[in-house]
Amino acid sequence: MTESIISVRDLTTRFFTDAGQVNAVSGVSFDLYGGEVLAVVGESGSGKSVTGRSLMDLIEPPGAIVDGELWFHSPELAADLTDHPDAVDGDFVDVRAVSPAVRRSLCGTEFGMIFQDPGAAFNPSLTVGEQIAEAVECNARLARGETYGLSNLLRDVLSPASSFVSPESFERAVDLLERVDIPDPAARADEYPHQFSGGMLQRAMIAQALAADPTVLIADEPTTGLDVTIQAGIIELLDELRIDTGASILLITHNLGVVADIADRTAVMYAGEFVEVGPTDRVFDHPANPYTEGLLGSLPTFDDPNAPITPIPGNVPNLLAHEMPPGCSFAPRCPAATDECTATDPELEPVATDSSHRVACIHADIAADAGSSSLADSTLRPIDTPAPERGDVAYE
Amino acid sequence: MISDRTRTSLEREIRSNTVATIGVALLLSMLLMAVFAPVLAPHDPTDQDSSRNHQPPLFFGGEESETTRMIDGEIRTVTESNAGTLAHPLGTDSNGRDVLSRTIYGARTSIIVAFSAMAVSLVVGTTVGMVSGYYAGRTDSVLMRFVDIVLAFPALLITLAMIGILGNITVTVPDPLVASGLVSDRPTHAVIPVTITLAISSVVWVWIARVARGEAIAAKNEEYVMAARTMGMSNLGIIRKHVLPNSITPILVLATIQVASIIIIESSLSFLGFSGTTLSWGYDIAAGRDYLATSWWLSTVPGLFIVVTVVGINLLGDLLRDALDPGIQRGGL
Repeated sequence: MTESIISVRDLTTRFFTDAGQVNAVSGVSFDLYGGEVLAVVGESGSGKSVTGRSLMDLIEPPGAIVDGELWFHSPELAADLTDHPDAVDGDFVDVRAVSPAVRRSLCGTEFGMIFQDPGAAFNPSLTVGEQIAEAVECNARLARGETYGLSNLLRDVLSPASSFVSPESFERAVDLLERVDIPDPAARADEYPHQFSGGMLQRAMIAQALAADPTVLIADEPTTGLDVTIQAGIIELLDELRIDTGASILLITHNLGVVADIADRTAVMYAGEFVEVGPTDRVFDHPANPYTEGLLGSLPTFDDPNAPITPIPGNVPNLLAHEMPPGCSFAPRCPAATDECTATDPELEPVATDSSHRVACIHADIAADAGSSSLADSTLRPIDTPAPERGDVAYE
Repeated sequence: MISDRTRTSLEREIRSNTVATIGVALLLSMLLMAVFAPVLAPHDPTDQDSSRNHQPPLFFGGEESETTRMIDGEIRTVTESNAGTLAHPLGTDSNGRDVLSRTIYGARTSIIVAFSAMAVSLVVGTTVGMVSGYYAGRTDSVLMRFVDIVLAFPALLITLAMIGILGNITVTVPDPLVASGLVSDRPTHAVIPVTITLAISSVVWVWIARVARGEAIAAKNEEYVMAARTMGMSNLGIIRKHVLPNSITPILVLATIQVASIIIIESSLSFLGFSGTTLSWGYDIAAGRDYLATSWWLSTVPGLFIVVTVVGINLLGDLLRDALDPGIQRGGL
């Protein structure tokens, strides 16, 4: 493992709906290291996708990131931002503290996002090649410090022949399609999204995400909408790309099989919080949190087809702030729950046997010296700021 | 902006839908009439001759009556028939001007006003709607409350207020067909009523803005817009590349149908006397109102032309909607 690329500290994302405040992500902290695959797993509604979207600044009203720091490794930007001392720490930049334009430009040049539904992630009125070329072009323009402004808009509208993408960008788009193993890429680049199959479109989207030569790929349920046979191909492709390009991958999924295949580390999410983080084999073989145990127990195994499947009783709690159970949010469904569980909200703490493996459960075998709640594997800043009072941030 | 797919479905719709084809034909003939008015009109529409005033259309009239006329320096009583003649197939008005020629020229005013007012409304309405829908929040509230205020007043009231503020601005342009020497004895200049165009645009753009905003909201929540944001694309770029192309169809359908309402508003204004030009359907209807009991054709002929144009435009609007909206099954509702 090398240096971390992203350090998320106390990320809190809420949605202010008519029904009440929804705490989609509550104080999540983690590091993503260079070249690793970190899987975030959890049931539907556990806040995994919102975590990924928060990183990409894709939270729309009525939602908002209300607290936390998102430190991205970007030496160039850190050097540029000398007038924002609060936003810079060494080679790291806190994207929440910089302007939206800088944030978007950083996201555009350093990150690639792969969405869940490839059918929805392509504009039906443009060809696939054009849209990938658009990503290439955007990245090139961002690198030159250009943005698409009013003058570009007027020129575009007044002369319909003017094209946003240059021929070079389109060529690169074809190369990218070839890179993700799409047969006959030159011909397919001229086709519209509806002419692609789901699996092919997912590959095309990966090509689009690669347009910026990203250092981080965020894959939000990249295999959920696909046939099982095609899923394996996509996962294989992601793994291959990780090795070739050295990009880190944040893999958001509820498919534990996919996780076991390629993730170096796994984070288990429940009700907006990380309940267990650790090397994938540790988490799978020695789960420290009863929830992780429950998740794994609810899977059929190939080794023993007759082994009973044990579902976790109950449902994920409603994330509305006033309906959240007190203390540990898993306590109402937890077989090991005691009175103490509903009284205290556990923090992530290192497991006694392995400090890279951390768990949020008061019953877990926690390392004796874990007095503070610092991230044991953090190479960057420890968490020293106390969590904010719930509900102290007003929505404007 | 028009894809192959759109063109194919338009062609299919035109082939399969006879009623829509009639609509297109009606509208096209009105357009041709407006463009080639100097060639098509049998007379100069402003040419007066009181000796043949109130002449009914062809195949109408025919009663004999005695009138006094000055012939060769003497006053004589002569018996005349007021039967319609081929020279004035749709009759003449109270000043003896040819009704057919006036109506053909009137199409120009209606069509120029309708299309230029719609062009202004489309640009303003789409811009406001896109900005409002895409940026949401406070921008949206401010813009849409303003739209609501405009919508709260009757359209005619706002246009009359605008006319009061702007005064009567007209632009006089030389008629290219007359200037090139192709036809003579026709008005050499055409009058474009700028005030009327702007006044009508001031009420029509709000409809476009409303629909554009709704479409922009729908489009901006699509995942491809998020994908574009992750690429680092600017908001304007996203609006131009992703939001606008996916919102334009309903806007165009609405715009087509609104052209018909503009023609009616223009006629209403001309009827009330705010036309800027005397060659207008609404103006002729108003002028013929005084003679409705005796010379019915003065108001009826331009009225029929309005009906035909509006029906044609509405049929075209239906055609566009059927062809471009994938939610509507072929074969009608």
